[in-house]
Amino acid sequence: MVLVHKPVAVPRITVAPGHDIHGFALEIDNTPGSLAKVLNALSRLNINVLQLLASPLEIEAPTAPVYMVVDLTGVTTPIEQILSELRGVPTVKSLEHIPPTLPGYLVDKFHFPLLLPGGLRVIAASEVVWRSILETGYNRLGAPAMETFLWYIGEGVGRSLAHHWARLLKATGQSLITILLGDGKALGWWDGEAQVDWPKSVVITLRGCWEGLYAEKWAAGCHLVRGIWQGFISQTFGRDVKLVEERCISRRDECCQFIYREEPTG
Amino acid sequence: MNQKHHIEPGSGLSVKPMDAQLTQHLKDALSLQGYKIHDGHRVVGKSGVEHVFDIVAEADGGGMHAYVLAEELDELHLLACYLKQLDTGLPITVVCSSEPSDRCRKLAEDYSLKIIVPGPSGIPSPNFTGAFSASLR
Repeated sequence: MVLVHKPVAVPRITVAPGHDIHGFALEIDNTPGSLAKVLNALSRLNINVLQLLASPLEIEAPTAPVYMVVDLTGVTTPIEQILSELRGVPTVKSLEHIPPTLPGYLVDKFHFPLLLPGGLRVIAASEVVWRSILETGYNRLGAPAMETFLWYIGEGVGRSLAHHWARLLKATGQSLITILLGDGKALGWWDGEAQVDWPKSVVITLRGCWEGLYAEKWAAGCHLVRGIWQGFISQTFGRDVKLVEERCISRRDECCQFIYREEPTG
Repeated sequence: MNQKHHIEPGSGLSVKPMDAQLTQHLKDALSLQGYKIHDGHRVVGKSGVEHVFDIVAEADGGGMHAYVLAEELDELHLLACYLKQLDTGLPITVVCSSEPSDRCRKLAEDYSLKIIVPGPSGIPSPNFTGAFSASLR
């Protein structure tokens, strides 16, 4: 089965001009069917759920926080009655109403901070921020210095990530590489695959790598990402390797490809 | 394969070309001291990034010293030089036509970069020649 990739709208900020959008922050029982009861109540009121986030911090927690964005455009039931009906659902332990900050603009004020498994905090930033970091750095420092800076930062990041995931998941070798590929995809950095024939070669192929996309203006290559993978592979296998980016979307290739090849001895 | 595809001469910073007479003076002084001169020398650093230096002086024994020429200096220029030095391992001396600020002097010291200034008129002074010779030690 081929998995069809879909972009995802992260339910942190909702923009829906001309729509009467509202947020509901609930604590519900962490039991089978609990969420379905809430959704059934909304269905009976003919309310469309635009976004939904249900994610307990611990799998066995007795309750789970749920955040949902609903579209009340054209809904005649008063908001107080909707809230009352939801509070009446037996699995709902608490409910807060989050009105839009501005008409058609709603922020999830319920969840903070953002966490990954293991309690790692995530500090997300939009494309505007990442583009600006590259643009400012390349323009102010010049390409060679910026590339060097990005690589050094990346190399350290890669080593730290390898250390973290190895400790958290007790993973080693190729499993760790699979984890970093997944980590990057989950957080929107890349969609990638790896061919590992350690110690002879490692080939990392990434599609949609943000650094390559945003460095296109300078055809600069992905120095932060190359550093991350170089540091990660070095730490994972306990040997300093050199990674070369042989293809890059910043240079109009279809993907970014980083290759390590064992150097011949003797 | 090195990351060569994207490199442009110089750091990309807005540094005006240094007076040709002064540049020639630097090269002559280095040659007199027995150094082999490389113009626009390219060095691939540990990161795989290729760096271009205005002048690289190579001693008989193979030791190398890089010179970056600048009309004016600011903090970002020094940071770029520091990154080049860190990545290539080449000691760098910045030859600056105008007197750098105290802040730049302090930053250069923190970054282990040397700055030498020819003199107020742009004509190399005896002090400059001394500092220049010292930069090679």
